[in-house]
Amino acid sequence: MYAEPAITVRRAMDSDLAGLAELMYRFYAFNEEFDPSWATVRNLREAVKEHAAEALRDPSSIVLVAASGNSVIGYLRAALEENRLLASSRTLVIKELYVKPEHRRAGVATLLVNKAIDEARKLRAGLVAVEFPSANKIAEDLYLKIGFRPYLVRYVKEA
Amino acid sequence: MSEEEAATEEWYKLSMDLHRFYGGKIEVIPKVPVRRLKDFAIWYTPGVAEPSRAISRDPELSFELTSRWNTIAIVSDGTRVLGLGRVGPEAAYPVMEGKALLFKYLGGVDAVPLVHRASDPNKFIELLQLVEPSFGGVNLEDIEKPKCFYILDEARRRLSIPVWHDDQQGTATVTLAGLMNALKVVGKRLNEVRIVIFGAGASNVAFYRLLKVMGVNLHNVVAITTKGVLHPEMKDIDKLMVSDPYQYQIAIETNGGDLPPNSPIERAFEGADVLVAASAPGPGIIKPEWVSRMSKDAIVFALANPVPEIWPWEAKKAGARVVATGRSDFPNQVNNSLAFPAIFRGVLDVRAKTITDTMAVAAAMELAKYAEENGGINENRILPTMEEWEVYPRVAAAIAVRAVEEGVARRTTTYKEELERAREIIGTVRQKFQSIWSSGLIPKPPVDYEG
Repeated sequence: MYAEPAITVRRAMDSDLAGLAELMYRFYAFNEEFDPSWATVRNLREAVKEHAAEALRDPSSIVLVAASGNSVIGYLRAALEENRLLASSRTLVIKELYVKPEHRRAGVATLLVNKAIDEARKLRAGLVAVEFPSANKIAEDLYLKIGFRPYLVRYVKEA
Repeated sequence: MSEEEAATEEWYKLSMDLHRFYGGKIEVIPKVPVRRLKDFAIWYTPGVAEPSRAISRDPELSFELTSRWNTIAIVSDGTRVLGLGRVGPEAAYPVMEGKALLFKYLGGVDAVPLVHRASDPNKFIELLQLVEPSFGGVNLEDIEKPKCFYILDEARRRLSIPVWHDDQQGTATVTLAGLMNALKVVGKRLNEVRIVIFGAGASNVAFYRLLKVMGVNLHNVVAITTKGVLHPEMKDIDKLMVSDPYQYQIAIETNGGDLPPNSPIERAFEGADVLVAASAPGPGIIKPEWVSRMSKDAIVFALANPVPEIWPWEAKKAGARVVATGRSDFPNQVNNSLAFPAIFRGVLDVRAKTITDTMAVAAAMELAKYAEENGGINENRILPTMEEWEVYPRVAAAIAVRAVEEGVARRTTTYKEELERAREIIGTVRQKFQSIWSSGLIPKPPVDYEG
């Protein structure tokens, strides 16, 4: 399935900040479900505004939005990571992705990820990676379907 | 204690005494001649080796050479029994046995209680797969939600015999039949009405699925749970996607009935033509002022047991024209016993591999048609009652033919042929039972009710 033509995917702009912050809020509030270590700060509402503004300023971050008319209905935030010892030294890591419920199952997430892959090529990154809570089976299914494979495992332990 | 509660207490006591007296409710009785010892050379060794060899070559022959074709399992893990909750498999047994009695008496179906400890959904499904060779069908019963949806979906996918969850599909089928006739009574059409679904448990989630099959415009449907209106913009919608994907799907597909986000419950009733409540025992769950916000000639189904979400007279006073409940002492009882015996009669007779949602709709249509053709329909009669036993062969015939049309039957039949066959099977069971009873072989109950 493909997104309706009315939905466009582009780099986020300052005018998207409010919509972006709302979606970031939802992303973190949702992820809290999967593991206690994802518990959010109390002032999450405030914190996401700062987080959104920072992400737009940060040169090593890529923020994409899916927009329907003037409203932001989905977003993706990715960060560039470097390891000079590896032949494929640059990886673009998708850290956050969220699509509003009423626009799901229409291929919006796939559009966002494909756009991120385009951006990765421009930045000469050899790999695109994605991080999500290991208990999030819905995310797992989505990325496997798009062609991602398990790559890195992160275990945690309370310090 | 109210008069009603006192009466219920009486039933509890009588039931307890008689369950002890009879030591359960069903038994296995041969249906072949046993005249002398030699007969066992046919039914058992050495003769039985031949049917056994034949079935080994072609397992499908088990539907012809054994009782499998007419035998189903009534399966429960005892996690949501009646209104009692998680009482355990042993405690579910008397309920399953009662259901087996109804299956035999109303549908001529041999049903075996199968209560078990596999409450983990994947183990539950595995158990069904493991015992599949014993049965021609599976009736799931009294399983908690949301795992009951997953178990039904998966079991339907993996088994080659019909799997039916009566708490979901049975109630939904009879509800749909009742709604079809109620709409005829008030002169409205299903694809034009606005429908409020109150409670999104087993039966209402299944009812919603049948509405989809009927091609209802889903934006005219609004579902309400304890969390309020199911809406894509509701708080915690993402959590719902994980905790109850079925309710989540309703929220997205209906778009909250196109209401604005965070609309209060009473707003959902505004201009609604139909209310189908299957939520928590009332009274006082559905407020009369909500019903009075509905449009003219409103239809109210208040299906909670033992007490409906709103008393019928309250609903009528608030403007409802047709009211249905789950109770036999009020008009318009939505009773799944009207459906499940006939549905299994029909699918077993054509050795169906499954029961699709469209087959359930065909059963609902026939049930509605029967009520209309036999005695007519009006505000106080939208469904037949269990006493009209002719309804069972009719529904059996309708669903059997539909199974053949959909290509899920192992055998072909016509409506007329199945009608005759079902009449014969169910009629014979009634005769046999009458004959055993009048011969005095079943002892008379030592205590009894009046009337």
